[in-house]
Amino acid sequence: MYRLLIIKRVAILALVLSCLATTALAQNWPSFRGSNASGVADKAKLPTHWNVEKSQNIVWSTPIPGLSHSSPIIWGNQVFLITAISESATVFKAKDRGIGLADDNVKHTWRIYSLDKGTGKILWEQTAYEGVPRAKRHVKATQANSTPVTDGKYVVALFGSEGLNCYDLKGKLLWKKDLGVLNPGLWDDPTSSWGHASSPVIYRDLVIVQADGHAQSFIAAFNLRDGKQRWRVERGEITSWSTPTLLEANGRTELIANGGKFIRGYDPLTGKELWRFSDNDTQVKMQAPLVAHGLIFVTGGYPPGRPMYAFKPGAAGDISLKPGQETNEFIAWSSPKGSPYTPTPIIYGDYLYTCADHGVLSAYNARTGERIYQERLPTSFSASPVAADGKLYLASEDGEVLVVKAGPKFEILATNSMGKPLMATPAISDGILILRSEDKIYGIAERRPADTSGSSGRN
Amino acid sequence: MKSKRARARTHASGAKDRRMNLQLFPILVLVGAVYLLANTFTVAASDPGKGDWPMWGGAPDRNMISNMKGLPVSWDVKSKKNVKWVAQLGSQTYGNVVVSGGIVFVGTNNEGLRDPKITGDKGIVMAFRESDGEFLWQMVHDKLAAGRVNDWPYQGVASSPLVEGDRLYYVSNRAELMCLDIQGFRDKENDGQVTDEKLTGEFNGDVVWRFDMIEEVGSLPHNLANSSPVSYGDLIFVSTSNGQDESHVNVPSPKAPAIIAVNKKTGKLVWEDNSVEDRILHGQWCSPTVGTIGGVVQVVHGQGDGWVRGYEATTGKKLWEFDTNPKDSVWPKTRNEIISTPVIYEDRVYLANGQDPEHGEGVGHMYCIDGTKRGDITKTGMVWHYDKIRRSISTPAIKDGIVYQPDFSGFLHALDAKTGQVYWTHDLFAAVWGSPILIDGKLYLGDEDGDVVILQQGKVKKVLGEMNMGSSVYSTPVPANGVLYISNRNQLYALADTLQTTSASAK
Repeated sequence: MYRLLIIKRVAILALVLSCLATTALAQNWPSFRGSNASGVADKAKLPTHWNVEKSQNIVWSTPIPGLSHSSPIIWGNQVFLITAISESATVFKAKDRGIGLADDNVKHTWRIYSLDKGTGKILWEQTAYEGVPRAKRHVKATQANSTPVTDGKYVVALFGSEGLNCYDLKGKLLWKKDLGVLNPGLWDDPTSSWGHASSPVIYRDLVIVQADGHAQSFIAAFNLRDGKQRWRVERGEITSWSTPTLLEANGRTELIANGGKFIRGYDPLTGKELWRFSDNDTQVKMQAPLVAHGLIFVTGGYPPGRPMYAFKPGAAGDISLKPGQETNEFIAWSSPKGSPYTPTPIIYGDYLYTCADHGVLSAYNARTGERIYQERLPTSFSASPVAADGKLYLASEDGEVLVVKAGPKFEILATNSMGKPLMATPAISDGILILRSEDKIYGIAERRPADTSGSSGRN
Repeated sequence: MKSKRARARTHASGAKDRRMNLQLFPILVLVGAVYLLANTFTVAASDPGKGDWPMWGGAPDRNMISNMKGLPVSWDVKSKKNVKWVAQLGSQTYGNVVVSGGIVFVGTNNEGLRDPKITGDKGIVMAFRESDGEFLWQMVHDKLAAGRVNDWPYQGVASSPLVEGDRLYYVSNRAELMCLDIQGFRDKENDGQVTDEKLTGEFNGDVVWRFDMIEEVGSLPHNLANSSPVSYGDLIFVSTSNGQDESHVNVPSPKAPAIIAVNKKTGKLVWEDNSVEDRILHGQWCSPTVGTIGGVVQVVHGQGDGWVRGYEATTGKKLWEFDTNPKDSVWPKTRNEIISTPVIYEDRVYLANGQDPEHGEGVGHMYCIDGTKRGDITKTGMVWHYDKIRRSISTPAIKDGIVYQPDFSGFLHALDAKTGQVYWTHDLFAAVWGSPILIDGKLYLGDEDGDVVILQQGKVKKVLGEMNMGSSVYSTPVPANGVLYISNRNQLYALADTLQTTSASAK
């Protein structure tokens, strides 16, 4: 009995310690959608309401030149982000659904910035490339769509067809790598180039890049230390914009890559394909796979195919569904519909939330795929939802952040206007929501009533 | 009147087919095709409806209604409950099913590879036997060499055919108005003026004549020619789909007509109209409608400048025109094109405007227009204007003084046909490409999520059910001879109420 109690106490202590560890980790938001693309930064208190005009809960705002849908990332007290600055007026259509290309045939400057998380002050900035873009882009996209990634020692930024750059946290360029022209576009038209968007991820001492375009379709891993290529696999895929996700389970790590033809698991150390799943009906994939509840969630696709799948880890070989099948040994549940086109869903607590481009928010039981609710929001979305403090934060193309209560009952808690379209997925760290609007980065946090000094980050 | 008789004739031949099926009874039971059998009974015994569905909208007025009774209100494509048969189509299906003469016709693409020797991207029209869904023949159209600008990849044939007697009319992806023999080459005869078909096997379509709108009237369709034909007397009416080029600025063929009338026996041009000239905002994807308005048989057509025009059917004389956009609207943000088919109902024209689905969502407008007026009737002919609608590409169903009109954002609006006053709206949560159909007091409507919702007809909203079809439904459900046809992107389902049929046949 006594022994048992001790064991129990040790267990509780371990639990507390692990929670602390999680909290410490949660302060960083090291990649697209934070830690392993989860989009969740729990244990942080975040404001529900803010007001830009009245400076309510706006801790700082910092203008950033150029145009970029890439998200900010956060490590310690530093925020990192990239941009592309055109020397002439830039065409950008936030709500466009067509196939039109922007004419970017003038000199651009690609830059990386580091800001102070508490004040928004620019700590350093570096020019990565200058010149006429090597690839065209969609009128809705930018010349800097990929979100950087960091492990606290290296910051790696992918400037699309202009290349992959690695910096230290002080902004010193360590290496750069030309990956060739990366030109995903309209999937069946090789002349169509809408701009690369998949973000790099870090695994151990490697940075891994997925690039499925017309000219090239590969996943490659490079040493963080020196940029040397460790492995590269040709994928033979059609265009995609999806960022890969890592899953550690049962002593094995899988790199999960979405794709228009196959969803695949790779060994991140060698690039060896572990499993594949045929998903031929979807044309294009934009969404990052998610891992939660011991499952891998892969969504995405352009109509008519917009399926959602919950895979079990540890698969091998071809795990495709046979006609008429909905599940098999490695598929916990699947649905032929429900996935948005652009925003990656989010799993927060027991629920999988999808926020579709056309403003329909749905909640599902993540373990079973059963739909809990479906509600219409009065706006449209490209950015992915993020979550913290029992709330979902949905940044819209109309320039609003809708705050929705997490859980099985739908409730809009607030609609906060930022004035300009919000295309980048927000970042969260230490109770601060970092929001990228068209021309500014905002730090938003609950401020004590006494703290009424104005925005301090402008420089 | 003549077409009514033709319809009655085709209905009768359909009944003959069904009788023949009865003789197959023992074999069918042996192979377990009980559904099929049970249905065959019902149709023969209890079908009080209009029988065939020989064109887009069922009738020239394009009103999406039917009096057919006994169609299913629930089914399950997984368990095959109330599924009479399923036919595999291509990978994308934008055309709508028509049923006539015991044959079901539908436009699709070639990804279904019905003929393994014919590979690559093509426009396809497939013909299936109505009784059991057996594939009969297909017509194959190569893609236009110019590519996406005139003939978007993998969209197949998007025109919904018109059947009159033993002739099938539709517009191919190559912008040809086609006239085919409904039997294809199964009758071992090469009918009509065209006898140089390359494919003449028993599973191939037999061309009677073709009218190439690119060659003959200079049309350069924007992205795809898609018009669904309609007829009056000896004339077939179609939109040319003439539009802008890839620049989305120029109209390269400003002298090409927007609408043409072709003699259905000879395939020769009878009249054309080009009121729109170079003012085409984008493309022209609206199909024409025929009906009697104020005692005059008119063809009504929405055109590329966002105006809808009424013509005297026999002569092509323009009677009236109406701008469906507010004068201060600006393309493409607030000014719209017309993709929905107009509906003629009790001397009025009902129409919603919208834009290419690739343009996404936005503001829309719906109108009730008095087509008895003449000239520019934008002011004088406007009975009502409803602006609480989003962009729409759907055609309304109108019955008992209520208009049911969906929009592309996924809202269905029920409006008073006389005043435009809204009774209710219903949110489908997914984009609506197809149109509602009102059958025996129940409204069926599909969406991009593949859900088909069934609502009660009337001033009070009541949802009766919702079924998923396994993939996006871009089409409109079609009732014919006691069967409900619904195509999703790659399959055609023939649905029939097997339980009800069994009890009916027991009587």
